[in-house]
Amino acid sequence: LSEHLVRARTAVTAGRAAWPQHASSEDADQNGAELLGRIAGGDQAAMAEFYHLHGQVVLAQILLVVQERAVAEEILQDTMLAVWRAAASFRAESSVRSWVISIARRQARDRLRRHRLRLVDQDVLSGQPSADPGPEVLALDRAAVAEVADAIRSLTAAQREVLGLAFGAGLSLPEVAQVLEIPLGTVKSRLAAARTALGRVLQEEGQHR
Amino acid sequence: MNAGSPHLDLGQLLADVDYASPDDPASAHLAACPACRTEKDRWAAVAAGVRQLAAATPPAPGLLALPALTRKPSALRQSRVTRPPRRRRAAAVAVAAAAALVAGGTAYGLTAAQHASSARPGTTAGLTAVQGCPGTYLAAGTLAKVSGTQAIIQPRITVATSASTVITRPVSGTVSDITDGSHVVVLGTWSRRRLAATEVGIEVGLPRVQRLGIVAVAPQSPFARQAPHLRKSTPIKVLLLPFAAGTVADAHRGSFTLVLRNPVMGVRRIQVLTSNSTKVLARASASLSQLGIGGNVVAVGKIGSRGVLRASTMAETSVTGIITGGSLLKVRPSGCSAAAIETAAVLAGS
Repeated sequence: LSEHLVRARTAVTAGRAAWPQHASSEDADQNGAELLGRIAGGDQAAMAEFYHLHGQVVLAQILLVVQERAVAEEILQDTMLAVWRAAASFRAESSVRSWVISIARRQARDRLRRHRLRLVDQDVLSGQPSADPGPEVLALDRAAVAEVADAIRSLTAAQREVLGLAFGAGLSLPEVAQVLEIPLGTVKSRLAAARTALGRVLQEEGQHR
Repeated sequence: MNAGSPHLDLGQLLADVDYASPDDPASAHLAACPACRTEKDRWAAVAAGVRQLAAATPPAPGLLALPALTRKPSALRQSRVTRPPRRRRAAAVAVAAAAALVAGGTAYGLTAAQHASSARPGTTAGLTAVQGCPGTYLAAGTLAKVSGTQAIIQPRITVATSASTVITRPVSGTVSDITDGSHVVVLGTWSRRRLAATEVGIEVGLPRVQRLGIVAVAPQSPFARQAPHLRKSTPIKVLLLPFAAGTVADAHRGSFTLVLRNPVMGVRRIQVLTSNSTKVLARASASLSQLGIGGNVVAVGKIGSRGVLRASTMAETSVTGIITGGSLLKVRPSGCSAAAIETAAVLAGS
């Protein structure tokens, strides 16, 4: 097992290194609130800088959910237009990153609703993880990072979304709960269910190899 | 800890995945609890998978077009009180989306590419894998040295060429080279709803892109020095320049019509003004020794021994980095889509 643990730690380091340059939630928030103030005053340069800070991370999160590049780009543009319009309404009650992702989520939800797609599949979310390490957990232990990434694509939109918010966008669990508008406990169970489903996909893929 | 459980709860485990601190009580517990460490590492594996997916996300397209932002937020908020008809709001969004462009030139339907890691055997840091084309990589950077049939691209990528490698470079043209049916990329400034061209690239790259919008250019780039009037106040890190790419129609002395077709805006016609000061770039075949040392180059090929890139095609690009080698897309390894190569080029340059 120790080999797997070392690999997992290496993978995390590599994953961080590969994460988009502007993904630092702290940096983004430090400048984000000030930028929003300038945007509210009609400063286009501030809008450009805000986009520079958040665009890539928001796009990655949207793409994780909708899995269609053209749609994700349109949602990103809608989101930034909404930011331009609503900058004055930012009250610093949440982080800038979670605020803009919440806007993106609403835009995505509206878009998916128009396409008659479901963002949240409660049936799939109801599965709770087993306390014992079943074969799906062991499959996760054995999987390489690229295999895990591939398997994530097979999860439901809701599962991809919660994983993306927690690990991609770098939000804390309370912030994830705020964005998803669900209790913290539900976030945890959703994450656990997503991991179980991920292990299941990896297990099935392992059987096919 | 969990109520009723001696182990860390999910929140503590995930906090440790992201912000491990040796002074934290949870970290102390983690150090002494193999079960929690195993659980944490499983979450770390999930986190790494998510981050790898996100890292493979192609760069975000350009910002909303400036025309969509010209109304002050306060005015927009006022108009929201008397909510405009949905059709009008949809049109505003469509305009914004249509005018969105590409910092560096992504196109519709691009697929993801992944940066090659130096940790992967048989690859070299700085190469970008072309998604869907096994073994095919793209290198982009500054041409540092040419020696015989080999070139060094900074940061330290050795590219080997052969007689079959297609090599091209941008050459100066004149406005008379802009003819009907050509695909062109235009950089310029807006003037009374017309685009006054500062730079026009003819058949030089990204033929799939049919877009109008703005493009981000680093202030220190030579192009930015050509257009100081577009310089924005600090601390903005990029300049936003009008950009359009499409097909030429009605080419005359001093102007042409640029026809843009894409899924968002449908068909749109823009009048482009040219003058003697308009810089025109075309593309010509070249030998390796004709490529300029210190210039920007892009090469696509397969990895050979010792991580050398055996190039099937190599191109010098323009200073903006937008006008990349069209030949990259015309002469590409079998099975590789133009979109995949475009994406790799954008990623490599980002």
